[in-house]
Amino acid sequence: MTVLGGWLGAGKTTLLNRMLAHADERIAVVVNDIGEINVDAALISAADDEIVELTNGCVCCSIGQSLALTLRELTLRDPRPERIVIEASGVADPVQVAAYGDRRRVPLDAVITLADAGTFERRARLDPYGPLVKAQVAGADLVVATKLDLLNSDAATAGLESIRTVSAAPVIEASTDPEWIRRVILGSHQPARRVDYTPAPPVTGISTHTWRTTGPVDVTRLTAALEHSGLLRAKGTLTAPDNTLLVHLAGDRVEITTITDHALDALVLIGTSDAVVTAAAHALDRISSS
Amino acid sequence: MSEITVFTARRIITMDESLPDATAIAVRGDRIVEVGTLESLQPWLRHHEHVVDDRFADQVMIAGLIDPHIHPSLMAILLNCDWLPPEPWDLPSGRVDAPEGKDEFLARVGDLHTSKPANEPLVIFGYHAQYHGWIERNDLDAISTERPVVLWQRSFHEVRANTAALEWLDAAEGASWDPHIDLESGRMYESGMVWALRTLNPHLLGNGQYKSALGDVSTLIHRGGITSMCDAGFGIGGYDQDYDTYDAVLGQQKTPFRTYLMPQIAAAKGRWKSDTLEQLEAWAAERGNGRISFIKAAKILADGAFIAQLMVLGEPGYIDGHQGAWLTEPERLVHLMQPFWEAGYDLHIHCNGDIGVGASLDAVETLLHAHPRVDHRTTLHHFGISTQAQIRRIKALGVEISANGYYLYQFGDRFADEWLGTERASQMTRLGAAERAGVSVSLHSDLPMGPAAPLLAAQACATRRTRGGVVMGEPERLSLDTALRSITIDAAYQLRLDHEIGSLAAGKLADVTVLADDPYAVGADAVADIAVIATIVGGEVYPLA
Repeated sequence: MTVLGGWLGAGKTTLLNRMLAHADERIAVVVNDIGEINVDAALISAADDEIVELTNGCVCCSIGQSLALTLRELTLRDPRPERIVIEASGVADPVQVAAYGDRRRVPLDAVITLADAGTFERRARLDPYGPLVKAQVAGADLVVATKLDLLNSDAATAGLESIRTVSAAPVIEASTDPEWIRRVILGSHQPARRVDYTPAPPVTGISTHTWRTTGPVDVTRLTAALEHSGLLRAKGTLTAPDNTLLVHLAGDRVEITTITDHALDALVLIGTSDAVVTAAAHALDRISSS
Repeated sequence: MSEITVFTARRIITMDESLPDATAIAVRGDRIVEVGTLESLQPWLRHHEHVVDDRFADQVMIAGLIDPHIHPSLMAILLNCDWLPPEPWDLPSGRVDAPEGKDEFLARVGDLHTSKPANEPLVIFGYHAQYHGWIERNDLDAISTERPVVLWQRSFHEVRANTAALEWLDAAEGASWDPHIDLESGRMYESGMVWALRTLNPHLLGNGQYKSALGDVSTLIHRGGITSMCDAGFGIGGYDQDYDTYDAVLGQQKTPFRTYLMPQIAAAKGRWKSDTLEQLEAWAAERGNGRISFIKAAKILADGAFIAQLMVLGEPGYIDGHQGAWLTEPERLVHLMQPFWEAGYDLHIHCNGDIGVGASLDAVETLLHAHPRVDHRTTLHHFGISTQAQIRRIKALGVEISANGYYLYQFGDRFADEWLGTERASQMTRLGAAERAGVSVSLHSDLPMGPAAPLLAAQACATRRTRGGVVMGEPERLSLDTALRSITIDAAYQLRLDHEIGSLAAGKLADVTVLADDPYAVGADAVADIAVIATIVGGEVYPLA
């Protein structure tokens, strides 16, 4: 599951609508109030008071009595959603919501916090909510700066800088590109098998590279290479000496688990520039060559 | 049968400034014909057949007491539990003394265990770590490994369970979804509590138990001398189930009080997800009878509970540094209130911490700008921690206060020690300032948060003496007169019922509480000791055994 946090007006609803429209997997979006989500009527296949179903297989529902019960009901749906996105309330700490993803049934993908670049600095200073505004950003795995298009370039730079002083995780600029939503926000871009390999189409503001290897990799060194790599996303399966590793990176969060499937021996790396992605690929080359 | 009945009393406290004192009250049907003396009533009595009922001639009458904030459905659930609370309670089953400390608490749990039929779950309400020490799964397993034992916390937000109870509550499955279920310690809290209620609710309310327990709630309300009460949050047990049960129990003509229902907005949105207000109104229009009415008011909850210390506090926060929680986030308050506000509903906002109070006032100010209203009677409920600046703002915005009369009395000293510090704890429920500013104040029990005993609430707020005997924040005392207004006419005003109830005057409903003594004569210190002899509702006498 992915938790989407951020203060009121940071753009969560806008992004959720785009995710529902552009997802290339069946996502379920859990929101505070279903009435606040205005899904494009053309995309709706069925709707009642509880849940809105889209023609692309996605659904949107509101948090009922408890998030745990809502998550359980969603996973019992047929077909089961491939990903659950939870909108944290504007005054919640999304890390606390992410605790639901630490349970074994719905593993956490990432905490993504949106921050309005034009108001973040002021809000972070103001009582009584300032500490919470900062905590939302500080706890995120990935921070998306929004509303930059409303600012002149000096203000945009200052806004980004104010967010970066609080965030240890990568801070990126919001985009309306559907491919950006799929790759960066949803992280759904998978490494292709060699036979059907086609290069991913370019997306403004991000760089994508498929890193391939042939031999087994060492988990400790792999983790070290991915941590603090500056990558936004990395995803793939690699061969380890005794098993197959499922590798998942979302900003600050690296998750490496073992699976029984055969490895593709490839990682899709997504970063803000060619330089970041190339540097990460070189770091990975070094661990597999030694 | 005579057309007019005249009740006489040693003193009748009318709560009507134009005629504050009387000794006789004439009633025709369910309404008051006239208040005064047997002599002053003569113009009416000369022209109409009448009888004089002097059975209360030695007693004191006061305008029927009003509790503007009760949760009958919650209390009904709890009356089907056993009780071990941090403060003594008078229940229909008898008095429950408060166990002191962990050893005594666990010994009392052990006594309940040995007195109950084998293996029937034992659900005990009232556990509070500050009073009973830290108790978890292994402590309860030492009492029984066979019988499910559940401790329901005094604040409602949590249960602690033994191993057998965790199995009964399907807690292992719950824990795989919910981070607020900890199997090791047996704690299920916040959303984990919702999981526990899936089993607890049918266990406690099934098989007709809801109805019978609601009958017991009715007994408690009557004992408090209450002639009108408001369920300030109707629908939290499910609109249909709650209404049907209320109708069968509280809706009967023999019920010794009137019930007013104030819908809870979040519960209404759960029941009618779209066009909530329209659907709620259509549903309510088909309901209500002589004893139960819907009022054009709606309840919304801002920050967390006082007893759980989950209210949202500003600087300097809690002593232990923990954070409060929002039940409705500040930005959503306006969103949820708006349709009700625009349709002319009075909004009643549950708020406890100074930040919760501030967010509530922000919401009112936003709505006043967006859709100006006169005489909006928005009321802040509970009103735990506030500032003087907020009292001035409450006055400026035309907002009113309905305070929990028991916070300071029950918890004042203890909360000062561990959570709030002396200054802020002494000034909780800041009502003296409200009185000085001319802000309307009512007092409520929030039953089951506090006992349905308006006279105790009045005494507690007029003396600011805690159960332990300490006086806290003397400048924030209410005058005795305002304290009595706050459980009669001012409570009626906030519910927009002051033309019908809350004071005794010609044309109003004949609702009276009969007391053994005169509150003004005994003084603020002894008001709660006055026995309630009977209530009169719509002219009908309902004696207390």
